[in-house]
Amino acid sequence: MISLTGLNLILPQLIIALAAIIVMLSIAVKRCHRFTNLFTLLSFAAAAISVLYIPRGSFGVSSLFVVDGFGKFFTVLIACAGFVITLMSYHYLNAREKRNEEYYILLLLSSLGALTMVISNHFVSFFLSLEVLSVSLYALIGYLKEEPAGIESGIKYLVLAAVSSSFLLFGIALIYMQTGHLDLSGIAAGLSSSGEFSGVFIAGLAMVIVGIGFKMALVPFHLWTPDIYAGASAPVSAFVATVSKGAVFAFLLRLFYSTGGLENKNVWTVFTIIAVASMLFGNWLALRQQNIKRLLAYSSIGHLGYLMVAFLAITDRGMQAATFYLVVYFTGMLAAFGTVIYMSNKKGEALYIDDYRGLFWKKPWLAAIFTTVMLSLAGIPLTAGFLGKLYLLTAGTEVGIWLLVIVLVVSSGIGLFYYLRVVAVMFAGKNENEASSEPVIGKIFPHGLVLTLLFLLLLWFGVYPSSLLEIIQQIASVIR
Amino acid sequence: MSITLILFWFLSVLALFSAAMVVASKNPVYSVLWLILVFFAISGHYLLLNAQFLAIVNIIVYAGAIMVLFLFVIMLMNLNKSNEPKRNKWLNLAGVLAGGCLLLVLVAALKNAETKATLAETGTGNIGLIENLGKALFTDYVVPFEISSVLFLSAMVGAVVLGKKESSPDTAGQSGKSSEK
Amino acid sequence: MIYLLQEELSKKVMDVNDIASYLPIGIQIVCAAGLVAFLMLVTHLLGPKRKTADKLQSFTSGIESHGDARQPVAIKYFLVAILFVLFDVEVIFFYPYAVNFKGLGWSGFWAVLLFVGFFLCGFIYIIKKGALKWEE
Repeated sequence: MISLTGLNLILPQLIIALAAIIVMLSIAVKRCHRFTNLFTLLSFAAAAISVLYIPRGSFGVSSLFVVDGFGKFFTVLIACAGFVITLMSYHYLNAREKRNEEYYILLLLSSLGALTMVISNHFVSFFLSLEVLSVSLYALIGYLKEEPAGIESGIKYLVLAAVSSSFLLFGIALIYMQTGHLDLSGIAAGLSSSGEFSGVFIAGLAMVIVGIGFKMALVPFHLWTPDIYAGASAPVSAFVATVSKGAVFAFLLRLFYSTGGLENKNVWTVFTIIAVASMLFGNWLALRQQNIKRLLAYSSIGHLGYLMVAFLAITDRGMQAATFYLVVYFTGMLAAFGTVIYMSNKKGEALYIDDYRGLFWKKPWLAAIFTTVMLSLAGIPLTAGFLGKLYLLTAGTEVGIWLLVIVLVVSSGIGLFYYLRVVAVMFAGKNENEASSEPVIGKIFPHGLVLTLLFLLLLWFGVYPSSLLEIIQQIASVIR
Repeated sequence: MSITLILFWFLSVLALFSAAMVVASKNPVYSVLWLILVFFAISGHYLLLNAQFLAIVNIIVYAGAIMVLFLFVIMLMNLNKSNEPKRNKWLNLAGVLAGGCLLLVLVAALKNAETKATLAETGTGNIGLIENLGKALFTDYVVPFEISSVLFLSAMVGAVVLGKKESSPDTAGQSGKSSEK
Repeated sequence: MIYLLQEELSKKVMDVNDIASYLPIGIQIVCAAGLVAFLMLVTHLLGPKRKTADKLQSFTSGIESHGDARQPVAIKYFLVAILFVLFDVEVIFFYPYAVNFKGLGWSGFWAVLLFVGFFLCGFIYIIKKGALKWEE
């Protein structure tokens, strides 16, 4: 049994778990959407703040978890993303669904899975976290019952995630067979003692990559992404795009950096192929999309490919660049889906690019925010996305992985087209059939406020990144 | 050849054959029955490894409870000959190719490993005994143990959300009243 | 005296944990399977066979059979079944605890209490939401 100090270390996770229980019991007593939403918000905020009470340094919790600066950083990031998504869900759920309190239980539980994943230091805790994350996501994706597309995408995600989980488990079993350990430090020790990688270990690692690649939607394993993004409700899509992927990426960094799995040439080559394919296919397939959620899905595939460039640099600089870019990506994706939610109405979401035609003439502020988001995702100077990409490029050029760097530049160029297409539509002439449309869900408070905040963050990181970079520099060297 | 080895080969062949039959059977209910056989064969393997608790749990949970769920799903979907989905030939081919590649890689990887791998503790190992399992579960792995209860909670809420029709409290109250009348 | 008896017992239990001790179980399984196979074979061999069209129809309590037997089942069965599985697994976690009840002491007790507490909250939720209510 862990002592009280151990409980102190996993305070954010405890808060979220308790919050889920309390929400559950409160629903059993009486349904109140406003209370549930406020309580969820408070608990996410509390989880983020509670990180301050965790002592500095790296602590192991019963060899399964390790609470270090890296884990704490991602804990805060995920809690903040959860906060923003909860805030954006309130009016959306009010308009679209009658029974909307359970949504928050599931949101809290899947966030809990993500929060335990980022501090996992053991395959058992990783797999359990992954299951907590995905099982809640199955229900979240199919949450809107009136939408057949939502249920369809829920089933799709269920089947595909189950297959990828089985690959992951098989891979873990092979790694265990070879090294005799399930904890990452034990695996690293087993590897360094045996000298070189055996075939079984590489096969195991490859299967783990399949499982992780599925969750991160890297290219050969990306086929689910557009369907699920388009079918799920917009807040849930935002969750899948940010929290779910970010948590798995955090574990990927931990797994390969602490065990030194990337030092093997074959593993490195596999990741390079995956990264190149993700960048090219993601951006290329996004070109033809008319549905804004599908466009964002393909764009997120590309962005995860960019992240892999920094991951493959295997330097402290690379890790800092990846972390910085992930923060920028979180902000940008949340703001983009936030705009989609803002523009939705009772009948449905503003799915198509044409729905945004002439937005500038109706809601100039919203159009400005969305433009900034698109420019940041594309990587135009003065936005955070530009600096993020710059760091990725420097991390890549420092170690001379030229192929990846060139592909990054080329695919960013491709990406520019579809991001600018959305921007151009917004500034184009007025939409003819706007009179018939219902009022949008977005309200000044809290939705507009959150969007403005994200917008300011994007600009702030773009102009004055050193505040964020200092924090990242402190945490990023810890993981080695 | 010792009796353990004979049993091992028998159970392995049984498990592999039944698993192949799960996929090959036309009737989904037969697939489920074959799957039960797979679980029994795997339970036999657990017994060979001296993990009686896992063997029993495997039978109770998987062969007992999960299979009932499978059957429910099959009956829920009403799989008939008439509404059987049409299979694409090329898709089948791609599946066979991908599966074959995976098999090839695994065989290649495991072929060299045979010399290195340590022998499994058939019959003598004490790791799988319920006592040692419990000790490990409630001391080192107590946090995952608690997380697993959270996992069950999310499954519970998910099932109720997706499976329960009546939504708002008003309709629940109405149905309660109407049943009173 | 009693202490000594227990010591003896646990030693025996350890000895029993080898593959040869499964022989009785193996014999029982063979006998059970053999009996089933034997009875099925015997009924086929001994029973009279008179096949007519009426006899080969499925038996529906005397009414003429119509439609397909495979109607889609309502989802409420599934809901009950999945909830059963969850609580079934919960109970299974008690076995390793029960075996180590003394050795684990209070820390094990709190761990199990927390585990059951989580499930209790889930149970309250299920009951309150009427998930187990059998609506027509």
